[in-house]
Amino acid sequence: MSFTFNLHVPKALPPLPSSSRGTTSLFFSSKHKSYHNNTSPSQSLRITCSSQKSNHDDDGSLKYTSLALQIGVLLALAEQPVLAVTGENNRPELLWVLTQWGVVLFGYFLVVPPIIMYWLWKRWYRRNLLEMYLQFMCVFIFFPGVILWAPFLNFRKFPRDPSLQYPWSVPEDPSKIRSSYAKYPYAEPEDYDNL
Amino acid sequence: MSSTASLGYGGPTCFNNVVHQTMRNSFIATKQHNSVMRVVKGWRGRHGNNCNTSKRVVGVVQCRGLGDFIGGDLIKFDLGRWLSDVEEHKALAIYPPHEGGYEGRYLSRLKRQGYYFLDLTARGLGDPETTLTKIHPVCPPHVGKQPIARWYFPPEVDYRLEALPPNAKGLVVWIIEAKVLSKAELQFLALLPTLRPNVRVIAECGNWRKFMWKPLKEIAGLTTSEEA
Repeated sequence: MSFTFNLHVPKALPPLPSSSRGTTSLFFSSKHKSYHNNTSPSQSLRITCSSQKSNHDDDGSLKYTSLALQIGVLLALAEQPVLAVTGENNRPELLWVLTQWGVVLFGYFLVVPPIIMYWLWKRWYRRNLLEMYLQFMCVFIFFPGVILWAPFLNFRKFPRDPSLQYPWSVPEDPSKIRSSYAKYPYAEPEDYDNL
Repeated sequence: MSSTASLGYGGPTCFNNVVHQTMRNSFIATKQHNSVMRVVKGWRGRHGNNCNTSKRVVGVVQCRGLGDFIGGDLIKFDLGRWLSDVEEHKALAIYPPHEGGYEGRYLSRLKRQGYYFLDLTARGLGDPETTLTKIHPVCPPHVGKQPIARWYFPPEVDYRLEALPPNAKGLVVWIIEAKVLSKAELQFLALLPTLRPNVRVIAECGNWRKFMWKPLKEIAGLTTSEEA
């Protein structure tokens, strides 16, 4: 027996001594099994039972670790539904939300439209292309507010002569009244100042 | 008279002699700009006197009060004053806004009071006295070889006064475009309610930035002393 053992080692793996050691242990165990099997069947059965027991022990330890991991995972997962059942803990107050909406709607309907209408009246004859674009954009965006304010504001033209306060007013000196006004494209923006 | 004196602006008007010079942002090329300036200069050069007035007027920024911008359809509830003024003065000169439509509110209120309306345009009125209170001839236009006819119509006001229902309150002569009438014609219209007691006269004598009215006697130059 020892002779056969010695012969197997150099033939298998001569250049790797560490791996040869592993193979040596394997050969030893295999030799033990074959020797016992060859000698007597009752002894072989006993050895088999013992090996099975050892296998069971190994499987048990592995199962325990896996069970522990699963339990941990389950516990970790269980935390989330607990939070969901509770709901949001930092909800905004209703009064604060209503205040914010009130401020926004106040600006949209009551503050900005008069400013837009005044801007239109002031720059109607002085605006360029970009300003006209911005004016139209603002009117389009704030149109509900402009419609709301239209019956209450009056941006119609004023008389050219500032001294005429009423439609039936008569000028003091008719000869000083200017009657010839240049029209577009010869008029300058200053000609529309008093409208 | 005090009620009519209350007509006017809601706020004060301030006048500032501020020469307002602004940079003109235009997409016109330099050459075109120069040509435009030349045309403008040439145009102004022709009128030496107007040049001075234009220099004075151009660049003056008029400061308007806040009351001038407040006003519209739903601000002045003046229908009650309108009805009382129609009853009191019987002949009014009104100045609606340019786009029109505002006189309908006042007309509807008079209609509810029980008045009936005679709508006339001042441009086709001819002689107001003859057309409204006398039998007047009308020559209709002919179409080609036809004799020139001459039809006689009854007085416009008297005919409609006879046709009024018994419970009617009166007849309103609503004259549009009355700005083309002369002062003498306006004087007759102002005196028409004294000739026909059931008649009211509403004359649209011009336009203003909000609906205003005034007794037609004051517009036509008839004062109380002249009446007496």
